[in-house]
Amino acid sequence: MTQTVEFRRIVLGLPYRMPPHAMQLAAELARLLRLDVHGLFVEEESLRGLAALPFAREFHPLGGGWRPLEVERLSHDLEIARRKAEKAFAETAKNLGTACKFEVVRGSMAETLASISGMGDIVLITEPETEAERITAQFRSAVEAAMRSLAAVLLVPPRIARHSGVIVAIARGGGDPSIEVAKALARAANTDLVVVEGLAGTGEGAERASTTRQVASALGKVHERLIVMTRSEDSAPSFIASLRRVPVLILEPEREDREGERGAN
Amino acid sequence: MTPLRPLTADQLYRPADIAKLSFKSTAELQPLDGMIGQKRAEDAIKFAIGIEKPGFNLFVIGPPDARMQEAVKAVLESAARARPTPSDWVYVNNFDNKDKPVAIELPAGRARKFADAMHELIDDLRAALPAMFQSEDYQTRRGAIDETFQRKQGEAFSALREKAAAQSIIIVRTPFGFALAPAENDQVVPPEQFHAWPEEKRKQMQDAIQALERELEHIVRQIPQWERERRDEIRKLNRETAKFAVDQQIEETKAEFSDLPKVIEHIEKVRADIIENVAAFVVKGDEELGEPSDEKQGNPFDRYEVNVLVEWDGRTSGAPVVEELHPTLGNLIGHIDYVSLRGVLVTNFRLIKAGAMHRANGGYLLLDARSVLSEPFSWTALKRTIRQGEIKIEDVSRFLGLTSTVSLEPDTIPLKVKVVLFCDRLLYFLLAAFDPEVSQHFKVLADFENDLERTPTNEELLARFIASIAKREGLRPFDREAVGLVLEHAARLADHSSKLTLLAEKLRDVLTEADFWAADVKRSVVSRADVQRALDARVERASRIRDRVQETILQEVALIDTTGSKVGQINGLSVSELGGFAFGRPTRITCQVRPGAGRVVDIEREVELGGPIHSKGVLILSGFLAGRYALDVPMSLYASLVFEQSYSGVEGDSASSAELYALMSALAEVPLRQDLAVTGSVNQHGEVQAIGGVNEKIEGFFDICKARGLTGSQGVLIPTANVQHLMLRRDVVDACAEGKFAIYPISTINEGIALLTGLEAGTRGADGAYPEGSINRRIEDRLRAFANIRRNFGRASEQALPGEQT
Repeated sequence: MTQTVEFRRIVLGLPYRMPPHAMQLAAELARLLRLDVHGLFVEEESLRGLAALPFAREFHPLGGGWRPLEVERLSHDLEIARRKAEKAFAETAKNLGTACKFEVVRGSMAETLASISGMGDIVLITEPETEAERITAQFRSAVEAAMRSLAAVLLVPPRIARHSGVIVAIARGGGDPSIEVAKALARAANTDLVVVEGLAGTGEGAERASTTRQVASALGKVHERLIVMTRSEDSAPSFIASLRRVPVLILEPEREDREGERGAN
Repeated sequence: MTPLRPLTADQLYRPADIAKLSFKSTAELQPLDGMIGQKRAEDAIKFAIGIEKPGFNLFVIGPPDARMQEAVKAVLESAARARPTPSDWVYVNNFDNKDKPVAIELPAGRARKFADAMHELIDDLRAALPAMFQSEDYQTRRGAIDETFQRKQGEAFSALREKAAAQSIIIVRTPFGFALAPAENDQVVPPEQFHAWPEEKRKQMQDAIQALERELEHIVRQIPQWERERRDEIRKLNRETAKFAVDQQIEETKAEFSDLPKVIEHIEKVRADIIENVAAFVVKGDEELGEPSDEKQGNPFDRYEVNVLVEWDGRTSGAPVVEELHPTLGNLIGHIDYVSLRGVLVTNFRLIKAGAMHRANGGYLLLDARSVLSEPFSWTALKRTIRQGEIKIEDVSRFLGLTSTVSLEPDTIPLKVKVVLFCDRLLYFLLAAFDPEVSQHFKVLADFENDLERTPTNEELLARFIASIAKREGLRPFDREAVGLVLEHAARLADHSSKLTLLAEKLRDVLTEADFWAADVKRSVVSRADVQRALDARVERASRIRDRVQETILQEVALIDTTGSKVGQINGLSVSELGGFAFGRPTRITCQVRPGAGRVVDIEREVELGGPIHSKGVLILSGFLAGRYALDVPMSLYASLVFEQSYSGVEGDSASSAELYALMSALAEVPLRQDLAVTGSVNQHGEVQAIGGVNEKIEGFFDICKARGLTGSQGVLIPTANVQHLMLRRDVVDACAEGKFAIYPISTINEGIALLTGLEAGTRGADGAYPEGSINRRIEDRLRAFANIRRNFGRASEQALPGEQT
């Protein structure tokens, strides 16, 4: 059965370094769907603990080399990062016309996202620019937390190919909720909708490569601005986002069941 | 004394011999192309055309109304048709140094084809290259490169993470970097818990972290290298991809210009540049494809365009004949335009504009010398360009310091042009005197004649010339009588009854006006009456001042007698020219004499109203008196001469004979006839010499006499040498024919004074004395009397000074 999805809020987990295009994308989506925006800046408590260890050092890739991780300086760096994130958020929220909230939380990003997001939310996750960031504990746990939640996840690649174009739904079948969501987005954006149905194959290795080829072949010369698809248990959405260099909105396949499941727990 | 006979009517006006004109109207005549009566100039022009050596450019001089440009242009155009069509020239971008655009020479008619071909090439590539880069093949290969790089990074970091995880260590993100932390269940171990660990475990953890830190650093340091490798791979892929699309198109374009090595060389550079800058053709701002093009060039594809500077239509043959009427520096040697880009003036090779030198290259360039000299830098640039034999476009605003923006230094273009300068004689002579380079760069002089001999053949020729003007200007044909009057007017314009003017502009004006009057009376062929009406109307329009001058004389505001006789007073004649219209008027000249130190005073000179030539004329009078009279006594005369009621400058010596008559009259105390007017200069021997404007002078006195009523005794004394110049107005000629007015040719002062006084001038007899009663005798006696008075005066003065008597 086709479901109608109604989003209310975008939750922006603001990492220490948020690329401008991700912020811009959040604003565009909020404007199109009339969504509130909730910016979360998480001051990792665990980092302060680490800084208390005598041997703790941090590596600055851009020429800084290694230097001791000290509590005082860490606090200072976190404050700088917070101010920067708040400023960027304020710029984005300006003239948006919807409710915008910036919140600073102490704890971990994963726990915060898990606790704050739910049905009707879109959690924006920015794919890291480097593989080094990808293997950090924070990113992995944040993605896991977002994927476990009932919220939809907007996966934003490190670089976006275009900000205009059609909306694409990659659907497993006619009743896939991605179609309705993509349709609503296309209507709001006053653009066309392209539905790619019956795309099979998920998983890893050869299977993932097969999915990639299918997507590339199916989309051909389509110039899409956003892809909507339902969640799978693999890294296909991340891979497609990277391949097409467009954001991928990942929806819950069976919302009511999951909500019930979550409520039961 | 033999009375002097006035000139007969046929000596006053030479009519055209229309019986020898073998046509009814000019419509029957073959128009005359080129020049007439200008053999000297024509030969010079032909010589200049024929000689190919440097510096043999042409300087054409002559009267302003001769329409020299038109005549020379016709000759040059005829010569140009037999010469080869010059090359086309284009400017293209210099891919090695964009500030120095490259000039390329192409056979006539090929420049536009080259420009079109390049434009088409770029258009095709703008369509083909994006398709190529969006192809599945390219995307797959590009994806493979990215994936390889990401995999390499990913594998290294994954291995690190796994190795860390195996030792209960995690990698965490700090605000500005990365850190390694001891972990339990993927969470950083809190410090209190870590400190609670046994020391050995803590030490092990610390060592493990230190080892992993080194590995992390090693991996991170490898990333730039991997990134470079990835970029190189992508660049290589892009080049290969672009080359595949570009090569075919380039080869097709080259095939069309395979005979032109410089074009081929340029196309090869275009090929290399497109491959290096394929980003401009594919996705704007895709940093993986390269840097976007230079904004200074404007549109990124502009750099591949061709600026056609000079092109010749392949269908027309012959060399160009270019006339530049506004020879500013830019119009002469070309200029570089600028456009404003974000408040900054920028330029590029496409903004180079051709000058007249470029357009005339291989042919002839016609310039008005006065215009060239009036424009800043143009004269210098013209000479420099001729000397160097190449056209170098220079930015005048940089000379003046008006702009400090970066400009271009386009390739120079070899110059092979024959420059033809036009100006009046005075300017040429001044220029030649003050600028020695004139003779270096303009070795051939064509000096246009003002007039030609009035022979039947030349009258026929001028008739054809009139037919040519009528045809060219779209005028009605002129009948034979009308042509006759135009020929007579041509003689009047030449100021000579035996010459015909060559001032085509003045003839054209008369013809045009006659045509207008013919149209006014709806005549299909212009008649003599129309020409006469045109001539009269021209005089009428211009004669307001003449009429006012005559009015003042008739109202006796300006005192001029036309009857009776007076001692020491005579009617001289002068000519005024205002706005191209000349008219004559009588002027009263008077003289007073008394004993003195032998000086003739020119009052005009004393008050600085007399010009040098006029003063010279008066001084000649002293010489005449000294040479003719009282040779045995010192000259003891004081005489003053004045142009009465003259309030402006007087120049010329044409009144010197009149002044001498007045002086002689005053000395001889014999009255002069006031019904006669006099013109002519005189030398120290008493010979009367020719003057200018004789027709206007006669007509000026005639008009006054006629207005007061012709008496039959009135007339004008003119130098005999001026008889040939007479082309008088019809009413003057008629009055003379009827004996109501007379023109007397005078060769000597003796003839003139005899006519003016009615007394014989007298010649010295065997005794050396002039005959008793003659004018000369009276004068000599008066001068002796003056000398005696002066001598007696000197003695009386000595006696009056007793101190000096010892």
